[in-house]
Amino acid sequence: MTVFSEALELKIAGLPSRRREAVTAALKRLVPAVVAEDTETLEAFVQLGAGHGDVRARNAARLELLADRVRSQSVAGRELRVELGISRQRMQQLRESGRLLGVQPPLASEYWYPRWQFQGGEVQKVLPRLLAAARERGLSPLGLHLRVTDPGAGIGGTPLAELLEKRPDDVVAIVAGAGEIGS
Amino acid sequence: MSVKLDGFRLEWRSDPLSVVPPVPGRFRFDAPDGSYPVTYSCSDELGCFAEVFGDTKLIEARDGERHVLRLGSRRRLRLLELDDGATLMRLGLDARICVVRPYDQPQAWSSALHRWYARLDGLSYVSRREPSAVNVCLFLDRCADAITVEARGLVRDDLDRLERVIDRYPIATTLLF
Repeated sequence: MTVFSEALELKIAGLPSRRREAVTAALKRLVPAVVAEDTETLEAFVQLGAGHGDVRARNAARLELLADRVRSQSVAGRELRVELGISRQRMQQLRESGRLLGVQPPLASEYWYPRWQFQGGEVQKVLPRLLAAARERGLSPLGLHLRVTDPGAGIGGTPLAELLEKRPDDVVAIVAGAGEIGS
Repeated sequence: MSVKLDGFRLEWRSDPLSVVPPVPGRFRFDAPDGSYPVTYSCSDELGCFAEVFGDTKLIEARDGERHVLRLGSRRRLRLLELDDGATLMRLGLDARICVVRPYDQPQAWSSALHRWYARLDGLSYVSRREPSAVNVCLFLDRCADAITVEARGLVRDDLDRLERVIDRYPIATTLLF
């Protein structure tokens, strides 16, 4: 185990500083999760084979990071209810009627509300059109959030979320044509 | 260029050829006025996933219901190569036509090329998310009867294919749980 730890530490020490910090932070999250997992699951995971297991482990790590990203860019449902002074049922009504975007991080069931949909305490005017375009395109609320916050999915490197006021029609058009070959 | 088609696409429906053109055009080389139907393919099966999921970097459970289709052709198709430097230069274009957003300009060019070249079956162009692959926009009013479709299962059916996607691209999926 000592040899394993030393080899791992050496590998991490050789990384560029930003990557070293990212790898260390990821390991700090992953190690407790692995230790807490039951033995049968871990054995099954190991038996999946090196390449296979590696892909699934990377996938799990990416999902964790995506979930973290969603939460860091959003307001928790509980907080928003207090802020707006409305009930859980009213929030659900607003979500279901396409007037509020609530997203569930990957593999989670609680709702989070992306900050970009609010401007000066109000919901952005374009939001209902944007939600309608996403729904028609078969995009989930989470898919919409990830799409409008990714600079590479925006216009000239600017995320769509930052163009809602200046170029609402373009943002809606891009979301309406999303998820296609060449889109 | 005249070529036999060999491409892939992800589709919610099992039939990619019965396209009702949206008005106004929705995707990159759609007819802006919906006057002709088009569909798209990517030369690389995994590249298809990069194209469709590259902006969200997430394949969700609902996406597992999409069909993976392989498109071929019974005859050689006449494609205008927007992935070729000389062709782009002759038209006064550059590779931005393949990646620019929104799609006003690509759609206007699609409409003009469709009108100018009556025997043209479609356009080939560079994939935005997998530049090593070639995408094709097919003018279905001219070549639908020559296109063959091979079903390759639903996205969720082939976990090995999904793992290859996850291995190649920084994409995650909830389908591997």
